[in-house]
Amino acid sequence: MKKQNNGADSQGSEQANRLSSDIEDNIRYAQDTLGTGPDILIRRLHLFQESKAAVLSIAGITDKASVNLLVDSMLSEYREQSGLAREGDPFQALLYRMLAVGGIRSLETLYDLDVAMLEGLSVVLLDGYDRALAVNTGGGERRGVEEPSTQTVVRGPKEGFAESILTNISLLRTKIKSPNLRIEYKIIGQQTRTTVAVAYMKGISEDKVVNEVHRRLDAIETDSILDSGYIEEFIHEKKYSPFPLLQNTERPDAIAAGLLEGQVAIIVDGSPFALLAPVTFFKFFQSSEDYYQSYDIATFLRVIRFVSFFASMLLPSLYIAITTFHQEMLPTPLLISIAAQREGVPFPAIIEAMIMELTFEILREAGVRMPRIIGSAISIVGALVLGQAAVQAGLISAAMVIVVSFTAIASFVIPAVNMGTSARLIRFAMMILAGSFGVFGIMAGLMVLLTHLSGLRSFGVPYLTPISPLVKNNLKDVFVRAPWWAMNKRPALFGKPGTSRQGKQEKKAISSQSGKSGEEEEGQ
Amino acid sequence: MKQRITTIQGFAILVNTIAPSAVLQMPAHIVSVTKQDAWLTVLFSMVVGLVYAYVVGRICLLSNGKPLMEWLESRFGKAVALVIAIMLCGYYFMVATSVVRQFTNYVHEQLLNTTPILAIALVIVLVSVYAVWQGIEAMGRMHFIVLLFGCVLMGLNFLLLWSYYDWSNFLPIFEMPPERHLSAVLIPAGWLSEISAVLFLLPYFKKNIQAARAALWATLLSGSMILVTVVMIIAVFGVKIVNALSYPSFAALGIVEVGKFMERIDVFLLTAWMASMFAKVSIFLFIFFQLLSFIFGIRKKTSPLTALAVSAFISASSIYSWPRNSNFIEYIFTSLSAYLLVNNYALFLLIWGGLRLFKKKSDDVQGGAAT
Amino acid sequence: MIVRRTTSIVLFLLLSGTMLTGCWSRVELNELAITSATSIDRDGDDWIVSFQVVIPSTISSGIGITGGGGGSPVIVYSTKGKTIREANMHSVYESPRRLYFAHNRVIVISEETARRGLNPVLEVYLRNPDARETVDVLVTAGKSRKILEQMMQIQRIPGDGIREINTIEAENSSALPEVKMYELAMNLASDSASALLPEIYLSGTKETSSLSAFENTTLPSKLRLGRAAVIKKDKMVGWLSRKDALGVAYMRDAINKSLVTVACPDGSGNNSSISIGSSSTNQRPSLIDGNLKVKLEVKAEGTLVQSDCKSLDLYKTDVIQQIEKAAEKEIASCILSGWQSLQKLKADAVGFAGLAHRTYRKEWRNWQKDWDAEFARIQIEPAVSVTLSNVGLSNQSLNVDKLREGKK
Repeated sequence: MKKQNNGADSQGSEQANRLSSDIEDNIRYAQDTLGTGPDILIRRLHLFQESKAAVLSIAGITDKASVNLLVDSMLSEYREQSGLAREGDPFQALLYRMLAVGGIRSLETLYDLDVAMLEGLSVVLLDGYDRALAVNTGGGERRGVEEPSTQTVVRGPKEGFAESILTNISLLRTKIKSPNLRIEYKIIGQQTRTTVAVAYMKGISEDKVVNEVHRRLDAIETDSILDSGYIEEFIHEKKYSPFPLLQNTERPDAIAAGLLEGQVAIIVDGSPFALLAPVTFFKFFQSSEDYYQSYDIATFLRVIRFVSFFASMLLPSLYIAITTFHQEMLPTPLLISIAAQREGVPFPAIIEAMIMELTFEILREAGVRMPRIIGSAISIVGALVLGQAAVQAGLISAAMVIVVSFTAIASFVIPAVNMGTSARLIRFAMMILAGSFGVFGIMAGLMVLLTHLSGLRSFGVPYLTPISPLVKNNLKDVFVRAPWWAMNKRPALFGKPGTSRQGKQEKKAISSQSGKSGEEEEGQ
Repeated sequence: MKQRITTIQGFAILVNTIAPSAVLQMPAHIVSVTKQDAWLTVLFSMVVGLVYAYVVGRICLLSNGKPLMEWLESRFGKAVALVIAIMLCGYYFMVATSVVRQFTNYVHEQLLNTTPILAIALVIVLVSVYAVWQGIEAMGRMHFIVLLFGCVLMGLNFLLLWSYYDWSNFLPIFEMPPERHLSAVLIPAGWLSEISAVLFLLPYFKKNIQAARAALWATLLSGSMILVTVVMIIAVFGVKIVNALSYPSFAALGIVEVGKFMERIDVFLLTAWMASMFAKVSIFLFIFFQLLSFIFGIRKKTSPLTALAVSAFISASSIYSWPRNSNFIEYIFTSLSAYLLVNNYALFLLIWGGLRLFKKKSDDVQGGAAT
Repeated sequence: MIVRRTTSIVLFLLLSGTMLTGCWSRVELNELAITSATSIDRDGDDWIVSFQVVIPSTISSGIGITGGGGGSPVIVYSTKGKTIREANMHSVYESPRRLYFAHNRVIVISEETARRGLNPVLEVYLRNPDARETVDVLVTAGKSRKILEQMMQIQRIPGDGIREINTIEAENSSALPEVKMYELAMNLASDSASALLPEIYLSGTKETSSLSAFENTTLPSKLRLGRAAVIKKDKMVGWLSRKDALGVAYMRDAINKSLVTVACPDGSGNNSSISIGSSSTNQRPSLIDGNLKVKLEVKAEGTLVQSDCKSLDLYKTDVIQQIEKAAEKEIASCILSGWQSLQKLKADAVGFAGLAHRTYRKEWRNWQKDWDAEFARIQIEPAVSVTLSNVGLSNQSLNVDKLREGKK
């Protein structure tokens, strides 16, 4: 803590240091702080009757063409000296007459000079002036817009966020071309100086929520923000909860949909995952594809997702509880078949389940970390060696392998990866409870879980809205996805309550129109 | 930030306060007294319960929106309020421990035969204390979901048993003389009187009238749940065999067979009941803690360690107060029922009378009552 | 901070305590002896309880290492004790696994046990949560243990097979009821205090208790359902023949499906069979001289499934009516003979006591004191109506001679 404070102080004093009027001093300063590596480019020029100038930039994070254009425009203006004569002040001349590059701001201090260069700007220094111009020549190599690697859809937009915040915001702006889309920027992280954008729809989002987002973002004091995950943990409400209290997505369309329902988006530079707040438990079971395909199948898929969520959380524990406490629940043939498989298995069911679940988690982690090329190796080892061989060796019963595999598959069904993760964690606690108290233990665990969920809030919105507290209007988009023509009102929980998002008569109009045209055709 | 519950959440809390343990053993008791006319008894007791809920509703309307004990203190003075608080505290402690014991017994007898009952009681109390610790708002939401789940599964049970019903078990109607009804009514009426818990939830409602409304509706629904249970067990088992079963309402579930595959699904059907039992314990503990903190003048949130200690104490006392289950059953149908009646009816009627008498004295304090 | 740390330590200890000492009630599947059938015999004052325990690995063959066919699918052993539960407990002296009754399908009671009283059996089943009251109850004439030892065709677990036989019989023939333990308790606790139980017996010469019998296509002996045992006030009082039992089933309105075979109206001595698809009985009580008289209105609907009569034009309504009449007579005679047997046994297996209680409350108070005497005075009047709604796919009796002549 103390050290950080000191750092902040020294930075504060550096910030106060103004640029020198001697161009060489400034260049020297830049070389001192940024080093003299091959990426630090210092282009010296002579402008306006031998007056010295320099363009400083860092290669790689600036766009080469823009820098060249900048230099070119300065040099070409030199030949037409009339411009200078008219303005008098060379800075004014540069600003208003000569630089053919957009996005210019003026710098006062040495610290700003460093920062500007590190942000990818080119700095124009003039000898004899204690000011400088920072010209936006941003660019450099960044990943382009690609299909999102998570949250993929069959039908729907295929573009996903990239690392560059400018790209991301441009994607968002092309989705919502409305002056009500407000985007506000701030810089967080004393060392990383990460740009963070807060986006919301004015008139749809509740001002209270927007202000709260700003307040919490401003309260963050840290030296680094490397991903939106940092922000997420800093700003959500309760410190200890296995459940995600903010939604993250790689999909611009999901962000746009969220904004239009009154959520506030937080986009972090350097991370393709943008955050949405506030959020409810049920939001994590909605996929953007739900809204692109017909409502009946979307509803069906939603039910499947809820079932899989509970399966991935409870299936192993139910298996343990039923086979070791409540065998009477099994139909006789099934009981005998499972009992036959368990003959000779040396472990109790709870240990068996723990071993298999841990094995699966290890396999899964290995699958994520491992170089792609040897991917097929792990599936062979995992499936054949661990699954089949363990059963054949009589170490694990086949039924347990089925349960664990189903659980594993079910946990991938939930569209939000972080919700799936929390189910994974809870699964283990539930297994211990089931192993000690059977169904009663599972029920006790579920009650704790339910109470915990009931107590959670995300930016003031109760986590289990709209079920409890009950918000009738919002039920159209929880377990069922009502057809678009039936969802006239915006969900009331995030935004201003009850604003309508479409005309009420739309469906009727369409049907009556088509009816009419049909009649006319017949008449002819 | 002041915590708030909505009418429907308050209603859910109140239903969970009454219904879960009432459907466990009471139906058998009523059936043993008034036989096939037991459903009439339940209807009578519902009338009594509704009248009582109305009175409680009237008390609610008089409130000034402060917590019950502080309100009574402002009206009757510190000493009287303290006496009332100690009486109520003792009462809620007794009820809470007996509910814990009831739940523990059931789980022990039906599900976990060889697990020490102290462990079961401890799990029950810990889960409930956690709920109390999360605050009334979280509890309200939790209770609502539990009630929803409970109603769905209860309806499902009722339908699954459809083919086992023999409606001729209700014949002949009106056989029992009124005095038997009178003696049988006392116990369900006693249970329904637990609606007075609404007075402790008063400050969390936005308006007093919401509390009154919640109390009336909750009495109605809890009464109906008892009614459905009674009807269910008479229709399935008739009136003779019911006496031999400790838990006839759940024995009825034991015989459900859905096709060839689903045979003994009663454990699954029971989960809703277990959930509402947890909820029930939590609300009694909530009131108990509220009274405790009033008596000892504790203002800030208790530390988890104290909560743990108290929960251990409650679990232990629920286990060791009654060495045998027979002691406990006897206690439920004699002392506890009497206690319920005395405490809820007599005490709160006295409070009501007192409030009416002392009405003029502090008219200025009455804020939200009129609205 | 300290409080928080202490709390977490306490919580951790609690949790690990649960983990370590937990699993009190846990029983692994391979610690269970799953009983599929139980039988109860008496030996002097002692009870002999026999268990048919399933051996899972021989039943579901081919799974895991232990699978693989051979060996008997069940094992039977008996224990003795002063009470049923004591006998159960004595199994620990010989069984490597804990007996587990939740999947017990049938309980077979010997005639001797039934005649000496069923109270202890009911008591055990209603008291203990592990013994489910949904078990089927059957009675056998001799020692009941030998029923458990009998192997069965097709069904590998004999206990399961017995239940299946019982269910299928109750659904399709309806003569013998399928009685579950709780139904037995309800029947015996009701006003009439009587119940019927199906009989199971061993038909054939030798016992089939060895697997080697399965190598043949015919078994030397097999399990069959026989008569119905009449239980009155927890004691068995006698047997009803299958025909009488069918009559009682008609009286009790307990017919799901059944079959009636009647003689042809043409006097040829041939028979026709009618499958009764649905039947309902309405018991209409009335008072005659202070005694109960019950009119039994049976409404049955059936299909002609076989007719060996000489020439029947089944398109003609009067022909159909003739057959219906014959069927009605047959059913009525069933009912009457069943009723006579019941009156002889003084067992109200029809449940007329409940009917009397419901309809004649005042008289019931007197009758209640000596129901047996009143029961002997009850008169019944069967009024059967059979509707032959369907004659199947042929409108005449098939007769090769006639077909060849091409005449109708």
